[in-house]
Amino acid sequence: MKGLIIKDFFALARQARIFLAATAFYLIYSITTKNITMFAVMFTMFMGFLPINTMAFDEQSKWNKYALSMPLTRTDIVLSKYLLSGIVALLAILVNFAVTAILIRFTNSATGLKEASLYILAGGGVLLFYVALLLPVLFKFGVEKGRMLMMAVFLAPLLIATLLPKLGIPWPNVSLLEALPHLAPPALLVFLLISMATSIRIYQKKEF
Amino acid sequence: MDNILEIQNLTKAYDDFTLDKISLALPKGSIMGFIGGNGAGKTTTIKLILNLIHRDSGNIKVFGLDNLDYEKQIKEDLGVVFDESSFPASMKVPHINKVLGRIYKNWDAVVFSSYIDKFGLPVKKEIKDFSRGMKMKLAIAVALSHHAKLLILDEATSGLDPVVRDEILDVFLDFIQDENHSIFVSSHIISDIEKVADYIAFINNGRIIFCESKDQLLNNYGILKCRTAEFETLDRTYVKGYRKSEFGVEALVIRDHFRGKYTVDRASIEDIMLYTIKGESR
Repeated sequence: MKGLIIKDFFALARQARIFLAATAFYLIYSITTKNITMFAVMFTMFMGFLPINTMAFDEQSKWNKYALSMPLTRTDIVLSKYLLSGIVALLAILVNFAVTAILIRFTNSATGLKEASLYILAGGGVLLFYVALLLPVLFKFGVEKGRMLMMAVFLAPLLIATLLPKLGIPWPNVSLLEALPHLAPPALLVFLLISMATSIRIYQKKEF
Repeated sequence: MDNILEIQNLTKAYDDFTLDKISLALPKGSIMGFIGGNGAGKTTTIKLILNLIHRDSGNIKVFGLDNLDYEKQIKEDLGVVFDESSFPASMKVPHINKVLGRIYKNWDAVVFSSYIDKFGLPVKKEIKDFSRGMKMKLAIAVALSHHAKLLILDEATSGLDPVVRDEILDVFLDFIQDENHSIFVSSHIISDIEKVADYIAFINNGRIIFCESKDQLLNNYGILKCRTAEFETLDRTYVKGYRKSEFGVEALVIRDHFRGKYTVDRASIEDIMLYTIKGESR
């Protein structure tokens, strides 16, 4: 498993320059516009793309077939992508936290660090939520074929959120929103576990 | 355990192709060439051995162990080379060493780097800038660097120039010096197989036509040349295939039966393969 994670980081190296350039751009942008959440949002999104990119690289180089000729089980390969996503989410949270703390210190922003931390943690959660939603789709169809579906999966939560009021279903009330920080983590965990189990089942059946 | 690889009645059906109850056995310490035309079922068989695709029936034993029940254990001792390099494009040789050192229990960095030197592979270049020959050499270096007992190669030498192919065949012969080592190599380049293999399994249209030792094959079969009228009088049970032309008939025959009565030339593996396919398709 460790080998697979390291392999993913080496594979990502080819995007390192673009990644760093984009990160630097939004960092400067956030500083000059004093918009401290902008960086956090963009950085979380960039990080969220990384596990998906590694799957695209795997597909291009036909890595999966090769990896399965090694002493690795199909479960190992699936779980390594979830582990990578976990690492990426954690990195996103840590970097965002550090950058935000520094930005707040130097921009006399109205947003306090405590409030910002909540956003940052929620950002990490959203990243993992999307990973849990996307990985089974990508394991099933591959990144190339799954592209269209991926867009659909991305937009689905937004679409549902905008449709709800029109269908006469009320927005969640304030007490539910206040409970969200407590409800979300266990809900996300359950969702991740279901996603993992689904991905493993899909991958077990796959032929290479 | 005398057979390092044993396949029995292995079947896998697709819409347009069926691997039909194939059986073969590779004795320890030898090289088996797995030959057949494009689409004959070579890659399907190898994928089934590796459990990359799911079999319909039959069984496969590697090192005397069921290939599904002991999958992980078997794969520790397996070196596999496909017809392409499968490392992500931006990786370099030292990266591969780091990654595989964490995947194989017996990964040997010293052996790996000695093969990299031997093959003259660049350590600073990214894989995407490797030539096809370099990629194949890299894959072979990887397959040989975790003390594997069985090498499985799928069309590993096709698409390479004769010099590189020869170099690689030498590495195989070197590997097989250890009597615990064996090689199962599929190819449609018969001359390569003829050079190194001890056993030859010939697959055509999803069925094994023969699986015999090379020496036996070369001894048993011969090419008989005669006039058409003469050919009609031959006992057909000993004729495995033939080709008619305006000058007469060339036939693949069981050599012993016609010895003394006719001139029977040596048959090459390629002759045996080509005539047998023709005999089959009639």
